[in-house]
Amino acid sequence: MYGLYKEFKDEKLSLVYLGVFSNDITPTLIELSDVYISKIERLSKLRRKATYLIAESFQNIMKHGILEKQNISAIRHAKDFFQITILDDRIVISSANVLENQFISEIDVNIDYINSLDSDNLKALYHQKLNDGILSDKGGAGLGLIEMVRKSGLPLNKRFLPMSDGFSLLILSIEIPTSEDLKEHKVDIDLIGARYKKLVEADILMLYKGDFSSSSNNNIINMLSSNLATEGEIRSDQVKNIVAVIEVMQNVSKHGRKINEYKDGIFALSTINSELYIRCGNFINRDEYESLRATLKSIKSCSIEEIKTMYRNRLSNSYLTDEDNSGLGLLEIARFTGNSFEYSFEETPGGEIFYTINLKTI
Amino acid sequence: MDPLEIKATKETPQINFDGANGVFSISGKSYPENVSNFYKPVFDYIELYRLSPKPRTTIEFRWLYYNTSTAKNIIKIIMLLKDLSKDFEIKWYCKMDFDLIIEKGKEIREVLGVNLNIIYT
Repeated sequence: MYGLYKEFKDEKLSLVYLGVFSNDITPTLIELSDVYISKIERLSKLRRKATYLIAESFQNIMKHGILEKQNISAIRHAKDFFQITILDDRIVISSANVLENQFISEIDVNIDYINSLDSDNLKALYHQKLNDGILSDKGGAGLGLIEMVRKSGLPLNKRFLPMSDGFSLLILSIEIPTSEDLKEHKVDIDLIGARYKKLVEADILMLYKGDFSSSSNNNIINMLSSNLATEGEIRSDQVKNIVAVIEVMQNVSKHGRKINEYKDGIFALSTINSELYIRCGNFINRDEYESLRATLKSIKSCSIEEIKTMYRNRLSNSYLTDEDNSGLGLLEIARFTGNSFEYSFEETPGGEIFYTINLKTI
Repeated sequence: MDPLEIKATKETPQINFDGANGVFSISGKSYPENVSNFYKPVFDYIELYRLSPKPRTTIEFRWLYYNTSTAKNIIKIIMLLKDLSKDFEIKWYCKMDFDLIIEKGKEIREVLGVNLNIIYT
């Protein structure tokens, strides 16, 4: 997990989402980014733009995503992709979706044309399209792409990656800089493509890298709950997964090491053979390392019956202490996983300790 | 005694405490990061109720899910209420297929030896 963390380490916040897209999670995507954006003065002025562009880009994926084409074998393993990245001086929104090769040239020309226009011409084109009122059969009129360029102030970055049997992946990236003086793209779109491939191969459904404060955690948990619900109802078979995620994330929030004001860490959900895998990694304080390691070692040496007994004993006495942390979290994870969870500690070159937990509920 | 009502949020449950009739109800999800802050008015209310409890006290739970810090507070609520009235009952409402919540109800019944009835909805 530390290897994955290192790939994201220069990004203040990254949220990657692959798979099933629904409108329910748009507000959560916005809230989650907003928690970070609103804290940083130079970024906070981008809040309105970021909100608009996150919603617009996400809508774009929903309209043009692959869900309706799932039966096509060539792209059965492809996934739609959405990523929000916050860097020091800009917010980057990236997306990827599969399309048939026959549409490439038209889209390519359209985007190049939009990118070539100055702000006055973009405005004129926007009003012209609006007045024409010609909507495509997907419900858009190309207005979204025009608005993305108008609002961000930088051209849309695009790349077509060939897939197989007549399909390609369209990667789009829009950068919202903190200053109009920033005229160059900072993110290499080929690296977004490489990241997409890597995360799809790892069966990642969702990845978050950033601060594990309570407000961020709750937004992720809400997003996950929406994702694991059917028609707004939590599915009974997903309750353990949701509670396991809550325990893992709140553990980081309470015990994670603050570096530069943030409890930085990484959290990923993967689905392999329809089973959900939960992974989380974060820095911990050196003085808590030995006790955490001893606790984990002790739990792992117990049988599942012993763990159940320990949980019950601790639960019945828990009301006697006033501490929030009842010490039950790790025991709950052990119970949920049949004590099959895994953990590791890694010392970084900078002398920090990175703790990873990896689990699947049963 | 005035009732206590706390509206549910995405992370906290709906609280409806009716001390005048001895009926206490908690429903929804509970995983606030600072669980003590959230449950403080709940315990303050119970302390008031303890001054003049009703002959019959009922506490109703309708959980979707909760974290382990909340589990500790559920135990504390039950411990504070259980010996106040001659007639004490815990109603543990849950859907038939919510195995985890059913197990948690049974566990509380066994651990505390209390009158907890699981009611399927």
